[in-house]
Amino acid sequence: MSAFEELVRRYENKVFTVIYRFVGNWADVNDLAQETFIRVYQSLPNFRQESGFATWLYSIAANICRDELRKKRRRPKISLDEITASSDLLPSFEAGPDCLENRLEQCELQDAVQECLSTLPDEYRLALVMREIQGLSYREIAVVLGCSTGTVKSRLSRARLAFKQEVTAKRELFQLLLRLEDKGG
Amino acid sequence: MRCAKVRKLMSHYLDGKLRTSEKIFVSRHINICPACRHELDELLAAVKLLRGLPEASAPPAFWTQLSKRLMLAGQPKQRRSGIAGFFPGGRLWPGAAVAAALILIIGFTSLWYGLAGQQWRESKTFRVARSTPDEYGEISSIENGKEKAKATGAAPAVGKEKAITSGRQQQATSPPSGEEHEARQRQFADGQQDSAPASPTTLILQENAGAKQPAKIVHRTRLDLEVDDRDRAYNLLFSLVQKRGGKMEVDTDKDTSRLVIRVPILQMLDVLKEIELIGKVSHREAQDLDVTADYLNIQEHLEQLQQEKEKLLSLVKSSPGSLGEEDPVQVELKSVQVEIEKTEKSLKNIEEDLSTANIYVFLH
Repeated sequence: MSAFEELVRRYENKVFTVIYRFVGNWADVNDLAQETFIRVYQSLPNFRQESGFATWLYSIAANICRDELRKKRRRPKISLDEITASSDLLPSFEAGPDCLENRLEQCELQDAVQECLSTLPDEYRLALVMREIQGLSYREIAVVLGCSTGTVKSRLSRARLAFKQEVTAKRELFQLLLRLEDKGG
Repeated sequence: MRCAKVRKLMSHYLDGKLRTSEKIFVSRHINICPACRHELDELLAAVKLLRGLPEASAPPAFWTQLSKRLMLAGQPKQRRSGIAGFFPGGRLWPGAAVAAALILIIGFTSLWYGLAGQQWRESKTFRVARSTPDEYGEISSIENGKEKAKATGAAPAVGKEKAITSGRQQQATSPPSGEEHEARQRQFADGQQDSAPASPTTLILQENAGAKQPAKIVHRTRLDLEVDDRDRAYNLLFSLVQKRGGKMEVDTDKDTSRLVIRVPILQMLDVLKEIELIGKVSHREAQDLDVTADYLNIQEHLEQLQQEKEKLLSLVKSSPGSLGEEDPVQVELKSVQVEIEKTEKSLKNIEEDLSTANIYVFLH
C-alpha cells in the first residue's frame, strides 16, 4: 500500500462526511471527494505544514464544494442522469447495533437534520459542519473558512441560531429525538 | 435588555469560550429567566442533533476509482516560479505573449515620444512605463495573473507582488483587499505555503507518532499506608519529598493524616517505591487524566483574549480624546487584562500539574 493510499484511507470517510453535509447531495459526493484527493495529491509538495493536514484537506474540500455549488446555481437544471444517480446512490453510514425500527427512526431523524442544515447559507453550513460534526477549534475553522477567529465566533453564533430556528419549526424532530433518547437510555 | 445580551452570548457559552465574568452573568440569568433557559435548552438540543449525525462511509471501491484518476492526472506539481508560474501548465499562452509584447511596444513608444502628460505620468501606467523592461514584464505578468485568478480561481503569487511593490508608495501599509484575501485563501487551499514541504510518508509518520498534538496527561496516585507511628512516618515522608525537590501539604485528624505530595514527574516511580517502604500498603490506585481538551481550550481562549487586547490597545492609540478611566474602551481593556491574568494562571496550573506527579498519601 502506498503512503498516499494510506493517507486517503485514513481521511476518506471524513472527507465524505464534510462534503455530504456541506453539499447535501449524495450523488455528487464521490466525484467531489475524488476531486479533493486529486488536488491534495498534486499540491502535496507545496503543503508546508503551517496548519494541520486535516485542516488543509478540509479547506481544499470546502473550496471544491463552493465551486460546485456556484456552478449548480448558475445552471440549476437537473439532468436525467443526475436523477437516476441520486435515486441509485443512497448515503452510506456506519450502522449501529440497533434494531430495525430504531434504525429507521434514526435515519428519519438524520434526514430531517440534513434537510434543516441544507436550508442554511453556505458559509453558515460550513461553519456548523466544521465545528459540530468535525469538532474543529475556532482557529482551525478560521483557516478553513479563510477568516479571523472573531468572524468564526460570530458566524457560528448566527449559524447555530438559524439552524435552531429551522429545527424548532419542525417540532416533530425534537419529539423524535426525545423518543430515541428514551429508548437508548 | 439583559435577555438580549444573554442570547448574544449563548453560543460561546455552549463552547465554554466566555470570560469568567460573562459566564457568571449568563449562568445567573438563565437560572432566573425561564424564557432564556428555554432558549438555551433549544439551542443545546439543536446542536446535539448535529453532533449526533453519523460519519459517512466512502464506498469500498473509492481508492480503486481514485487511483485510476490519479494516474490520468499525472505527477504532483511543484509551485512554479517566474512569469510562467502564473499560467496554467507553466506555459505562456500565445495570445497573452502577443498582448504583453504589444503593451511593451506601446509603453516604450509613448515614453519615447513624450505623449504621456502630467496626469498620465502620475498614474499606474507611468509607474509601469518608467520601470526597467524586466520589472515591466514581471508587473504585467502579475497583473495578468491576478486577472486570470479572478476568472479561473487560481492564485496569483501575492508574495511576489508584494516584493515588487515594496519600496514604492503604492499601498505599502494598507490591508489586503477582499480579492487579495480570497487569493491568499485559495493559495493556502492550493497547498502553496512558505515553509518546509510535506510528503504522504512524513504525514503518516507524524500522525502515527502523534507529533501534531501529543496528549496532555495528569498523573495521580493514591496510596493508603498502615503505619505504627504517624509522626515518624510523616517526618520520613517530609525528608523524602525535600530530597526529591517536591512539595507536601498535610491535613490531619484523629484517625488519618492526608498528605498531598507533588514531585517532578520523572521522580514519580522512585518516590512511590520509597513511600511504600514506610508502611504497609492497604490500598493503591493510579489515575491518568487526559486534560488535552481543557489545555487546548484554555490556550485558545488566551490567544483570543490577547487578540482582543491588541485591538483595544490600537483603539486607544487611534482615539486621541480619551475619557480617562471612564472610557468604555479602557474599562473593557482592564477587564480583558484581568481575564488574561486569570487564564494565564489556569494554564500555568495545568502546566504545573502536567510536569509534576500528584501523590495522595493517607496514613492510617
